[in-house]
Amino acid sequence: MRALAPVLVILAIGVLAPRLAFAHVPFAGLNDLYNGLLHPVVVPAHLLLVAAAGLFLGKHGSRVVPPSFLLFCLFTFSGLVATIFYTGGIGERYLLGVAAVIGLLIAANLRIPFLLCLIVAALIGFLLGLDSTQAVLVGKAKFFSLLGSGLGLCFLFLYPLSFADYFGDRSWQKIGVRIVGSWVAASAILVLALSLNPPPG
Amino acid sequence: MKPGRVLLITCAVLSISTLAYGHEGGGITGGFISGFLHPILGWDHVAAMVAVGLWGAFLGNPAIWILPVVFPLVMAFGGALGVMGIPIPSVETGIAVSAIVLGIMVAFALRPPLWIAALLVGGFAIFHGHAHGTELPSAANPLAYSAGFVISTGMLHLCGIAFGLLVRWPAGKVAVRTCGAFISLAGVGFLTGVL
Repeated sequence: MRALAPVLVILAIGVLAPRLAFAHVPFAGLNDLYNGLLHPVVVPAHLLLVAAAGLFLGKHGSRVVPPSFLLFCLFTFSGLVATIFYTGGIGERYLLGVAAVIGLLIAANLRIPFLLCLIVAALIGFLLGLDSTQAVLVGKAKFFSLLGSGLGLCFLFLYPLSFADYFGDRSWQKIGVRIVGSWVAASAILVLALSLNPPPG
Repeated sequence: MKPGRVLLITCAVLSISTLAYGHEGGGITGGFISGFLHPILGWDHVAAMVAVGLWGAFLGNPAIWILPVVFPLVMAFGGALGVMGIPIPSVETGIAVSAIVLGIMVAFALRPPLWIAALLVGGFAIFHGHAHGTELPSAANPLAYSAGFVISTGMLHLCGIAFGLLVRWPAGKVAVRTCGAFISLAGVGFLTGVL
């Protein structure tokens, strides 16, 4: 028993020391796939970044939309696969910061070259996938949860992307997209401020 | 028992029963609704937001959409200051003054250069954002609260813009300028504590 004591102490420290990357309490009663599917909807940083990226890339027109969507999906799932090796996540502050910057770009009506659009889609997809880590789940539960998260992110990305592309013909529609972009940026800035200064208790 | 008596008892029981609320308004719903209602329930906020829309409509394109884009962005900056606990002196006074100044701009149909209008609106947006931001930490869901009050602010701007579009007609111009005068007077009421 005495020989086991150090092992038990190390195990106890090992269990207590790290903070579990259990970012969000899953919905009770739902299976792992559906919980994963809803994951991007209940994480403010993911929701805002997907909305901002979709609106921004959708504003660039039909030439950019299909390859951006494909790359986003591909790199989202790459990021999810990467969570098997890296469970640290990205951190919501960085994601919110990126969402705020992209929201400002939409409001300012700035456009970027085609190639850069593809890089942005891929990068954001990878970041979101990497941040959808499920450190507490193992085996089949983890697989279905990650699969659900990937599908959820891809579906969610499709809405703002199509919205901005569809409403991109008339000037008042473009103004509408810019106003929505400013709302996304404003919300991201506020949530970012709150994450930097969490309320006491 | 006779059917009439059964009906009477049923009606009596139904009339004394309390409502069963399915949703308590907490979490995401509560955060969104409390954020959405925050600008609407404060008359000082309503007056200033509507005035921004009215003035934008009065100034025409591109001010009609630039002012409603500038306002939430700068308001978010003010909100961030509020969340961080960085104090801004006389927030309530600033909000009341915003109603007075913006109301005057509409009432006298003043047309400064766009950058001055944006600067003025942005300056006042900081006070409004700060007031919202100080209430944000206690909200059930920060994103839902933020989205709620940003969208609500946008809707109030739209109300102002919709009414402001009446300036196309001579009678409409008088109506819009009168509305501006009322907003300005309301601002005086907020400032003096009468309203």
